[in-house]
Amino acid sequence: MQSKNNSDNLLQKQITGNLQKDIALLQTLFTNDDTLRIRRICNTANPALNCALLFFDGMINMQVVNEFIVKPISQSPYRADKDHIEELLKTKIIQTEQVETTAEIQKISQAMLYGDSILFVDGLKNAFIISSKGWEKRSVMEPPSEQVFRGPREGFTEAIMTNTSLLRRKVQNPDLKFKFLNLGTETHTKVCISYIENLAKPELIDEVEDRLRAIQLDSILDSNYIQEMIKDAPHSPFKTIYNSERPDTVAANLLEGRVAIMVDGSPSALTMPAFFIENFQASDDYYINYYFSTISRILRLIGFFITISAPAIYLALVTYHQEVIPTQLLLSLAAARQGVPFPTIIEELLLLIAFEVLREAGTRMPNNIGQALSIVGAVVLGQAAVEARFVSAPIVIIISITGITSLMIPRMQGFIVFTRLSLIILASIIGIYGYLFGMSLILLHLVSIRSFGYYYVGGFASFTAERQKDIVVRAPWWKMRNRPDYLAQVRQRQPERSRP
Amino acid sequence: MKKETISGKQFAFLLFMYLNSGVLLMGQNAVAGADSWLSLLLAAICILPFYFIYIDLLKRHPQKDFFAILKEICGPKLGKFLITLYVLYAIVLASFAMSNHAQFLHTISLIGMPLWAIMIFMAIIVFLVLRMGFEVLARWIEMVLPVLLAMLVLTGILTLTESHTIDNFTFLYDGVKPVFIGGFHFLSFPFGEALLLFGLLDNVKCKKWNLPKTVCLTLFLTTLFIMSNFFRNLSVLGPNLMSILNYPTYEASTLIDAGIFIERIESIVSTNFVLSDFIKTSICLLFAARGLQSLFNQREIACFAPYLILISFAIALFVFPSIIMNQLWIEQISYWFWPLLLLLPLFLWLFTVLQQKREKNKATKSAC
Amino acid sequence: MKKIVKFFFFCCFCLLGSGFLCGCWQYQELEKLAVITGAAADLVKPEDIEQKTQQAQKKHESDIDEAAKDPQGKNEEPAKENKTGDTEKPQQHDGKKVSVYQPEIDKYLVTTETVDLDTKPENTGRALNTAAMGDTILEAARKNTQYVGKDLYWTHLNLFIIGEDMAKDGVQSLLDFICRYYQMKLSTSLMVAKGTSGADILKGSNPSERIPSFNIMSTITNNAKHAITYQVKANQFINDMGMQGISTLPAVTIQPDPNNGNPITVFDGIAVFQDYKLIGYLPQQESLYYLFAIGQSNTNLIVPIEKDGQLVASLDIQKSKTKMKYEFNEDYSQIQLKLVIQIRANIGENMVFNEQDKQDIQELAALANQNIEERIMHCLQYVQSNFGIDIFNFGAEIEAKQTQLWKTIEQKWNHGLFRDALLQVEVKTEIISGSALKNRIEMGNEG
Repeated sequence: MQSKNNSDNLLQKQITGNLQKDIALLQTLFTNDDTLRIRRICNTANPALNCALLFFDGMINMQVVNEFIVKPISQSPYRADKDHIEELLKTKIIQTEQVETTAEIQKISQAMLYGDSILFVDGLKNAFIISSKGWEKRSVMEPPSEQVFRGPREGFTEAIMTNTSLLRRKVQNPDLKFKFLNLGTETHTKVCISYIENLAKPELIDEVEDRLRAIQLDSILDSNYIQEMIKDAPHSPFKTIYNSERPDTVAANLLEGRVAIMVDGSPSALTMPAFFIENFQASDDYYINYYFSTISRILRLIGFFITISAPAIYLALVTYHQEVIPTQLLLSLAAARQGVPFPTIIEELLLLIAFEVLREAGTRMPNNIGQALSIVGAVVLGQAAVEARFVSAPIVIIISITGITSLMIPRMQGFIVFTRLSLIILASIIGIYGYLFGMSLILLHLVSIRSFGYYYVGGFASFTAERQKDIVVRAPWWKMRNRPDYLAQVRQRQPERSRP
Repeated sequence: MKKETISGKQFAFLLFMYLNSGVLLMGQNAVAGADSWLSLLLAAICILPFYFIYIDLLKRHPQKDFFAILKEICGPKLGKFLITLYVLYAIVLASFAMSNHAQFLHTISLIGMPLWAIMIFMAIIVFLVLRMGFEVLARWIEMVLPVLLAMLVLTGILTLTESHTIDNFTFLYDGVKPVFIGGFHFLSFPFGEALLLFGLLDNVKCKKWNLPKTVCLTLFLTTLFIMSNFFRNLSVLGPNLMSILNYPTYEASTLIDAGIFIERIESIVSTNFVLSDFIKTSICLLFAARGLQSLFNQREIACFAPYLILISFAIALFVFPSIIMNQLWIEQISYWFWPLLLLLPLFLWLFTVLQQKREKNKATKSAC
Repeated sequence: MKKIVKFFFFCCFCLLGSGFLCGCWQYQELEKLAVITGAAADLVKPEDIEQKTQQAQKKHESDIDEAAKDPQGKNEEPAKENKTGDTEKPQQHDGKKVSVYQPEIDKYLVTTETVDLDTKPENTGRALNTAAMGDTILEAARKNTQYVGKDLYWTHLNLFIIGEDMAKDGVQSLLDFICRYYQMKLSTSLMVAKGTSGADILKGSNPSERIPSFNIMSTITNNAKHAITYQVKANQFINDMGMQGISTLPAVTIQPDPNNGNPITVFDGIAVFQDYKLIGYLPQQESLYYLFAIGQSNTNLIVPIEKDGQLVASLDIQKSKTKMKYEFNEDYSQIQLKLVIQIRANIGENMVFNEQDKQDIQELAALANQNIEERIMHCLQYVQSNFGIDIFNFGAEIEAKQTQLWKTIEQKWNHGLFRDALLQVEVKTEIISGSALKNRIEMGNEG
């Protein structure tokens, strides 16, 4: 605690002007930090010029420091007196793309921690913050979780400047704005709000900013930290804020009037407000044939229903409403269940747990063991369990259908696992009416939550022809004349009567 | 108090579902018999002016809901007494719907379960609706009704394969008097109960939709739907069987035999009835909660939710324990609520019209 | 204090909630159900009743002997027999006589057919028959559990065979069971066992399917397509009963297969019911034309055409429409009924006529008219003379057209008015095509 107090006190101070004292100040601030480097520079023509360059090893680009900071300073032929030396250094000598001057230790330490170099000059009350960032970062590549069949294969990286550049290249518009904030009391992570000025509603932008400023967390390591803090319905399993690693998705969302948040250190960008149907939309829906993409969307919706309902409905039919099953099927199901010791619900829960274990293990396993694991899983779960009469064959089919359809919508994984289980339990209590009860509850909850003031169900509820163009069906681009009316300020996307 | 707005479409859906809930399951009226459709038509025609009266009453008192109007016109003490009556009626009606639903499920498939176990689920979901508010229910039904309607229409069409031409379709076999008695009975259950739905509206001014037209259209569609249901039951089951069955619509759907796979889908069809009973219960309890809110001058209706649920649960369990009691209630006791449902709003409306006319006259007189 | 109260309520809710999770009331596993695929109801035979009475008497005597040894039961009186063979046993309890209700000797025998789901492959899928006796149909049906061992599941029952003796006694209790019991379907097909008991027909083996009731069901649906018989479901039967108290059911019987002597089930005629009791049968030939007359056999009825006693052609009926015209005399004591039937038919077989010749076709049509008229008239007269009741539902049509008049003559309709009615049949045949042939196969010698 004492050291924290000390460093807080130190951060409030200002530069004295005495080189030794300033260096000592910074050394005290960064005690026990062995990556701090101090490079003293003197000028051959100006013996009075006494500088010290401070930076952290590993954060700087060595070439920039060597050639554009140290070399020009030490070899500069210019002479100036004390009043003009600041101006001289700033404009003529230092050859990097950005130089700032400041006297606050707070700003200095922030800049240093981010990879800039600090130049202290003996006698000057201001220090120079010289940009020299050169840390290692991941190259721009396709995000593994959002792969497309056709379309751009760029993905966000962990560096916020790269991300903003990717966005700017998509939306080359002076109205695209980036606002930076620092969040996290310990980590001081850079967070960027971006929006398109004339499209996003001002109330929305203000709301987002207010909510961000209210965050009091100590660390922001990923965008999910922010997502959970500013969500509208924090107890709900639904995600009311969308996240994506693809710049084209985020750009498309910005163009519809949404606001995006990017977090330094996380490749996932957030967009808000989000709607339920976005969970089922993939970016390559817009890059491939619209018939095919419509069918894909419908398939995803059907898959979603199957994955949460199939085990529950099977359980309800087989244990409560056997009259719905045709007679022949009923007899063969009953024959398949001869000799199985567990009741159907126990079988289902066992197999579901086994499936989830397999899935989780597959995510954590290194790749070379993964293949063997899938074979073992298939053989063990499928064949041997049925032959040993642990479970009956129809259950294996149902669970495998459930599992396969759940992989179609990776975005909703959390919700699916939770809901599936509760629907099974409800169906085991009163049959299909329990399932109906569960679905009604889910729908009631879905209908009541909002995302930044907009209803989460968006276009689903009010059925107008205009809105249907981009919800389940994907209308061709020459038809999508207007932006969704509940979101953007400017509605027209294309002029009237535009033809393909 | 949170302002809740619902759109015209949502209101129409709610009205449709609410009116359908009681009658979907039941078959013919005992008195009118095979001419129940005529009494239904008669009741629908008679109730339409009353709906217009409700709407006009709400229009003439802008920004006030039904309870505020009662308090204003009848005075504080009488108003409170009348509100109490309405609240009690709404609670009893909600318990009736809950008990109906539980008995239906108990009779047709969940025969081993005690009634309270079936009712608990309905109670939980209605409790949540009470806490979330009327608007959420309206949006919910906007999404659910198309699906429900499609299912009902589809099963209706599927049963047509089993229908026989009505060989002895008789028209006014027993004369006109039973039709009138049946019509009067239909007037108070279910058509008159729509007052509970109108009583939930605060502000009926809206530019986009024309409320009287919407209500007219909904009433027409509802009547058409119930009548087509009735005729379908009649043609599939026959008049003799229909008069003795407890749940003719459900039994008619057991006869669907359109193929190997679509053989016995009545368990899925019965889910329709469950949902419509849910709507009725929630609307009745929402009305009761609003009444209590205006009685005790509270801000939110959510605080009354647990009490209302527990009371109606208890009433459903002990006052309506059997189907026979339910039928008695429908056929005999529900008659006696028509003054509350029809006469009192009529009186309020007349009073309002006269009062406003008087004020207008005064204003013109003073202007002169 | 509040924390403890909260904790207490929490525990209560947990306990309540756990009550839901421990396999609820209605939860039934599939393999614990005995799916009933067919059922038959009969009256218990008198020999069986004799046997049961003797058994009951013996048991009662042994009870009395045991009670005599027991000091507490000293004051018991010996059992008395009443006229029907029941035994009444008045018991004494604290000095008062309490008469104990001893139910009647069982009346109904209900046979059920379930499917054996044994794990041995040669036994799987075979039908198991069990039978139980009871005072009422419901009791007898439920008693089958003790022989099957599993919970009976009536939901998939499509077939109910009524034994002849039971049909004559009255089927009202059976229909009440079918309608009221929540597991029974209203669309159960009913049929009457002619000359035998329902149990025999249900047990009758057949080579094609392992389960007899599936075989019977497919037979009846196929036969209904070919207009040999028709399928009556319970709701239809009850409806017809409700209208006039008259209805008909298909009759089924067992005959030995001419090929190998195995018994097979054959549909043979129509059983006629009045006031829930069987009053007689229509033979197969008449029943074909009965179905025709009521409009139940639209398609694919083969009608052989005779000329001077010899078979010359046959028609394959595609569509037929029946209209009834009637005329009362002045005091409404007699009615003149005229049936007008319009038929569209293909030529089924042709041995004599020249199909290209218009006159020949007309002659064929005229012959067909004549033949069909005769047969339908024969059928109507058979019904009139043997039963005297209107099984064709003509009364319903009169009721629909002249309701007020029907109210006055309703009582007399089945008690003489129909029996004395004057009948007339008019058939108009239209021959559409000769199926695949243009003309009959000719022999070389003919010109």
